[in-house]
Amino acid sequence: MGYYPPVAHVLIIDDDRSLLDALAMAFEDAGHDITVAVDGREGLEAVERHRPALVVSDVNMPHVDGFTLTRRLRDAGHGLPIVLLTSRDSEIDEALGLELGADDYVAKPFSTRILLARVTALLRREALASAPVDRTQRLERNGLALDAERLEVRFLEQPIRVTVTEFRLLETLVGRPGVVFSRDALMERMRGDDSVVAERIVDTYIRRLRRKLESIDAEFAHIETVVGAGYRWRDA
Amino acid sequence: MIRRLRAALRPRSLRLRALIVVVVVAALPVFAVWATDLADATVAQRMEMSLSALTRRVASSGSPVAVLDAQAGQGHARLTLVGADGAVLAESDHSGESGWSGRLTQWVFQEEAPPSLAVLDAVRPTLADREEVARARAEGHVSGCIGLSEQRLVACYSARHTPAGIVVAEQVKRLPIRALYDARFQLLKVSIFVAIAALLAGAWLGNRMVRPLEELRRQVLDRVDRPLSAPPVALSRSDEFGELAGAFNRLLAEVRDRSAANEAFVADLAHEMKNPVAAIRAASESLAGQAEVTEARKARLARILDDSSRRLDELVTQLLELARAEAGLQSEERAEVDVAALISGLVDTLRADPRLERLTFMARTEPATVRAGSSSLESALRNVLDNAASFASHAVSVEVTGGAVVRVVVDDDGPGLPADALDRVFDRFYTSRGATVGTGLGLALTRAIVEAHGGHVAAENREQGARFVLTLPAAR
Repeated sequence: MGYYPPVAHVLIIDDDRSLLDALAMAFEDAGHDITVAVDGREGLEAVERHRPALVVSDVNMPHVDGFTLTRRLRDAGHGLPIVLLTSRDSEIDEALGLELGADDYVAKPFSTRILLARVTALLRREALASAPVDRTQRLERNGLALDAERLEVRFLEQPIRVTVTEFRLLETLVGRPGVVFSRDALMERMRGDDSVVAERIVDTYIRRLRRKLESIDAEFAHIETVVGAGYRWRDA
Repeated sequence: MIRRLRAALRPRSLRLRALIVVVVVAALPVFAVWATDLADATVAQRMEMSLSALTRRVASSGSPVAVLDAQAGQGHARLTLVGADGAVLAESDHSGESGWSGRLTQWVFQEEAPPSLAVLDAVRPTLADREEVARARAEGHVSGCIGLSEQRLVACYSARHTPAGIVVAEQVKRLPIRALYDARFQLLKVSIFVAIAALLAGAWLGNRMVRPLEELRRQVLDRVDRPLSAPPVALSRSDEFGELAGAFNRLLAEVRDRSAANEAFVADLAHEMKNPVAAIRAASESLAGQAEVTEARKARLARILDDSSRRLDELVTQLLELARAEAGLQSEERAEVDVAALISGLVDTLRADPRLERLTFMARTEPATVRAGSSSLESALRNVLDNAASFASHAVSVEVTGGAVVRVVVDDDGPGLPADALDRVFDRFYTSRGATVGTGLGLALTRAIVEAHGGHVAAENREQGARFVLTLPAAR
């Protein structure tokens, strides 16, 4: 099957005009239609007016910041994917907060290639959401079902909303049960990029994944911490 | 154990000092007795001399009998005139009336009466038979002292030959310290017990003083290698040591606060730098990814690279200036700077800026000079003016007033400052700006420079807009 990266209308929000312009160029080059906004307030207006398929937004902006923007969009019932651009370690945790509803984050200074890949993955997930399920693409273990094409996770038949990164992390662990992955190895596999992020971010992801899975089954204990080594999927 | 002992015995150790003081105090009575034994000898010697002088005066008077009583009263002595046959021709006894020192001794020893010569008379032959009388008769004058140790008395005499007979002067005195001297061995025994007790007490006291200090030192040193988030020093005492620990904890908290502020600053700085770096990275990737670059695209990329590198440069430059200003501008040369002229020049530059065409600038200046580094003062003032210009809707007005304190007041008619910003507006990276303009370090730099010149800065809201006030001490 031939593969064409999905193109869509993308709204880019950043208060740094040079960066905004550079991003606009990169998205234009990738074939996306773009709308730009310089702060969250303008961004909210642009969502209402242009109905983009996806939002890429800076976190730290005057008036309405990226977090507030995300919350407001979700509160208003917009389900479109949102990718946040963070520049502080402290923002990353919050960027992916369960209650916030952002789909992914990319840490500055990022590679536009990686950003575009993330956006593409998210757009494909959206596009496949309504298509029939192809069972062959599924990875199932201990009640957990991963659909690599749709980036969809189901646990005990209940869907779980995960980011691209979280999906890759789960895929890596579930794909080779019992094998211990170091934080370094997990970083490598799940991010697939060269952005400089502290290793402890892995712990944050694991914590968040556990929370999501435990919200469905409080007894969930398949992701095991191996002290001094990393993490593994426990099959028992 | 040995280490503790060595620590306790090292010179200047508080423990050792406390011990020495206690031991010296305990042994003091013994030392005092040994030392003052000498004093008793002096007492006898002086008594002997004064009696000799007394008999000389009597002898030289010509008529011993006439002056006998007067002299005896004066010398607090007993004077006796013994004839050639040994008979007592005259006698006057004033020996009991010994002056203030006698009365003091009497009080100390709780005696009912002063020592009396009667004690002496009881143990000695009658005057006529005494050796000194015979010797005086032969030699002209003799004097000497006799100790009566049981009574702790010393008696002195002077016998002088005169034509009228032998004049004998006698006096008795108590040797107050002699009593202690005699008891010196008993005293020593007591002192040994006292000294042992004192030694223990001294060691205990020294320990009590030094232990908390050592504990404090241990806890403080323990924190040297630990992160600043280590718990405060715990010394649950309400005394001075507790207060010392409290003082240390205050210092620790202060250091922690500053460190946290620094950490936040570095995080802010990294954050500010990441935007332009991200833009540069995106532009370089765009350049690498495209085989052919159109003129329009080239111009666009060039602008992105130029703007971003300029931002970085500005940030780094201001950061350095800020660091220098916060260190007090040590190396900067200072001269008299005309603030009015500086403001006029800066305002003219702003007026000429095409981007600020919509704004009216007003400057009202009085002659005012300060001692300052001219370039740093200029950037301090420029930052405040730039800030006002970026917020103003229509007008910026600047007023310079002279006097002992030079005041520069910059008013704009913009939205004013949020109430919580009045204190924070001079903080590094604080911004309430709509769009990102500048580095967020401008006003922080202004404050650092003005404070390095001994002045201060303040921000307030006016009815419409904000007001920034800079005050600087005038040049004399």
